[in-house]
Amino acid sequence: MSMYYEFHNPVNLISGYGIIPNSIGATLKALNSKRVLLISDRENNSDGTVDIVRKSIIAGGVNVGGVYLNVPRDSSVLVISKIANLCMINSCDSIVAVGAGSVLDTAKCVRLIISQNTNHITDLKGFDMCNRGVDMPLVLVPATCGTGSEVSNVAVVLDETGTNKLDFVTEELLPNATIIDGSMLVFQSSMEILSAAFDALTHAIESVTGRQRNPISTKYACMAIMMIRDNLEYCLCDNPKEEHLHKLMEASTIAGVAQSSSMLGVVHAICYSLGVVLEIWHRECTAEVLPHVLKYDFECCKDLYAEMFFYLVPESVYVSTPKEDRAKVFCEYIQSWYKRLHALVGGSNTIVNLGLSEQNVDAVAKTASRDGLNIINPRYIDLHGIKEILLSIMRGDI
Amino acid sequence: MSKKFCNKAKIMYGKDSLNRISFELSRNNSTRVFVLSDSTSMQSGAVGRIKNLFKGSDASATYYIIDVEKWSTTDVVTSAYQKFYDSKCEFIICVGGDGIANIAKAIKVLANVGTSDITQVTNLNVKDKVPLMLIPTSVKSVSYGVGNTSVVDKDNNKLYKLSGSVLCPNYIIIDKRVVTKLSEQIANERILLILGMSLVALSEPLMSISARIFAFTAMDSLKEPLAIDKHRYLGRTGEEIVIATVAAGIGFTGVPKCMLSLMVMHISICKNIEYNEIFFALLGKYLNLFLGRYSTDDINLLGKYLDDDSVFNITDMQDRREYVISKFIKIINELSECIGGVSSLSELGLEESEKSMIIDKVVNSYGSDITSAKVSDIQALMDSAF
Ligand SMILES: [Fe+2]
Repeated sequence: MSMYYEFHNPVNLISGYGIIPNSIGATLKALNSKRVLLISDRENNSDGTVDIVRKSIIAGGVNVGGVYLNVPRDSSVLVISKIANLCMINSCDSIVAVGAGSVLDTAKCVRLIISQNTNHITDLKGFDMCNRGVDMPLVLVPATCGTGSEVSNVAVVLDETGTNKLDFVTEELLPNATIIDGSMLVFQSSMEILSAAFDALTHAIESVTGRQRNPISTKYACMAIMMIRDNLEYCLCDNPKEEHLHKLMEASTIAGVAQSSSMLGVVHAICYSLGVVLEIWHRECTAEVLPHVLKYDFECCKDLYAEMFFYLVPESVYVSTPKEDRAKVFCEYIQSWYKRLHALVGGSNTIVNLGLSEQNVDAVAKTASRDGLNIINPRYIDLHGIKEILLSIMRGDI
Repeated sequence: MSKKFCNKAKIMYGKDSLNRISFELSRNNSTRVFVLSDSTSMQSGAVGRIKNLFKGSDASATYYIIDVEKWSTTDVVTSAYQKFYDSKCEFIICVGGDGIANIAKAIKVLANVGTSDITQVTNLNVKDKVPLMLIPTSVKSVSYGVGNTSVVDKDNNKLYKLSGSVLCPNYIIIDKRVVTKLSEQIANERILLILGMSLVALSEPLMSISARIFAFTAMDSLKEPLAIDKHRYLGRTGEEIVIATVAAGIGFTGVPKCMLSLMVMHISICKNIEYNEIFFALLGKYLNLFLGRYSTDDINLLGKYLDDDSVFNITDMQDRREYVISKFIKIINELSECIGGVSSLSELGLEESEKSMIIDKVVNSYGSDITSAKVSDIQALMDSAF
């Protein structure tokens, strides 16, 4: 084997159902934090999550020095500067963030500019631009099961104009600790859980097929796929068991570890673009885009699809599928599984009825084609290839 | 109840990975590097390779080469730390095997705590300011890449075992240019260790998901030798065995208190027998006794390492469990035979009369976590081991 790879995920993972009230303060204390800035959004504030987190911080003997509870769905460099200012004015020595991907990415960027001692976060954009920064503990609490941001070295925010996506990739974005608590999913609707779980599934699959895959991240990804397979459907029913909710949450986090090590691919390039151009949440699109990209990559990825097949399908499907058909059935299964679950939760949205049309398909394709993730995709893709995928989504080809 | 997992090390594996050292040094703003190594690595040319990397670089290195004994002693650690302290270095690189890594981790603790006496270290919750990069030439213990070290105080006849996040290496670089080639005998022994540690770790119900992933990653590295009827060493390279040992070790740190490991440790200390030798003698018996501890998922995943999915033809889960574990026990016994291992504690010189003393020590290691079920498990394992 002449390949080179690296794997790095030093995040302290603290996992357990219902642990939030007793774990955040204790974790901060172990990190020698004394005065923390709490970051979240309106959703998590109104459903009471922020209060639970605040109490947990105080229970650990740590002060809450400042709060920012207005992180928007698509955060930007302006929001980040504002929060960093708030952090410094209030002399906070650490940060806790609770929420979905946007909140967590924002907190990671706030810590990044403070620890890198800069006012211009745009100077840090791109791949691996940062040296070791000043120590500032960061503890993240994911409130959904799709982001993976809580363990990833990536953050995505909008620029000052709010129209361009900026990618930051550096290990300096990794938090010190992440609290994984499946009870957070109690606040989510079945539809939200389904799309978030398929986003996590996509993180796992793209990290296996991408050019930066490695044996460790592949194992993380495969285990995530298996845990989503075994727990997702139970989580969509009424009164799901704690065990299933927690395992789904853990699956999302370990898919995030895989993604952080191996990066993503064209599915995310397209979904991020749909987010920027049409203001659709990227997690709402991944399940629909994924089968089209799997088809596009089929020839160069079929062995990897066959490898993931074992982890994706129930045992009865695995044993009854001849080896040579595994890759094909892998692609078919993902789509039929999503369709079935989408119907189960009463979902009706598609990318087309969320706004993708003849009028904007060129703009979406153009934005997606500029995404650095395309380089990692296993098969070469350009503007034309992306547009073809978008058109096939519109036609409902698969 | 929460499960915790942290693997601080950045693992850099494969072609030309050593060439990335200078990038990592500048990322850490480090220009003065303390290179710790042993005379074997000096003679093999491994240290020379590291020296070459510093030519024309912004960083300068201070070299400290020592002969490593079986146990690191407080004297050796203190003088190595003194040398590090005098050199005003801000980064530690350690080239060699388990022995020198043990000393490097001790120096890292002292550097971060700010004292020269390891026997005085009590608070390990300190900031990790001085990074440690391990460059293995050979790894024979699963504790190589994780946050622990043991140092003997000869004057007071005392063993200091320290463990904590601050002892974790920040980097592990595995580059075949410095990894020692292994004989078939040694490779088989390492494979048995990796396989055994991974299987034992997976049997522990409190293991975190990340730790399980590392245990399976270690097993993956052994995929080819594990195929039925081909389980003997089939030319796995030294670096493949090193990464598998490191991964098995990281998986094993996810196990809070492992009964088998505690028992092996106490016998090893009492009888002064090598850890691995005792571990191998107990392994098959442990698996046989505790096969019920594996989750259904893990039985299926373990079954995948066996021949060609035939395990999935067994529909009864209990039968499947017995089939999978018995296959692994067979592989373990055959590997053990290859390396001349023994299969009972009496063959290692442990007397029946010493049984209860060992059981007491293992029970005491659990402190307040001990339960009556655990006590009977410990007794059952001890009985079966004779
Ligand atoms: Fe995503």
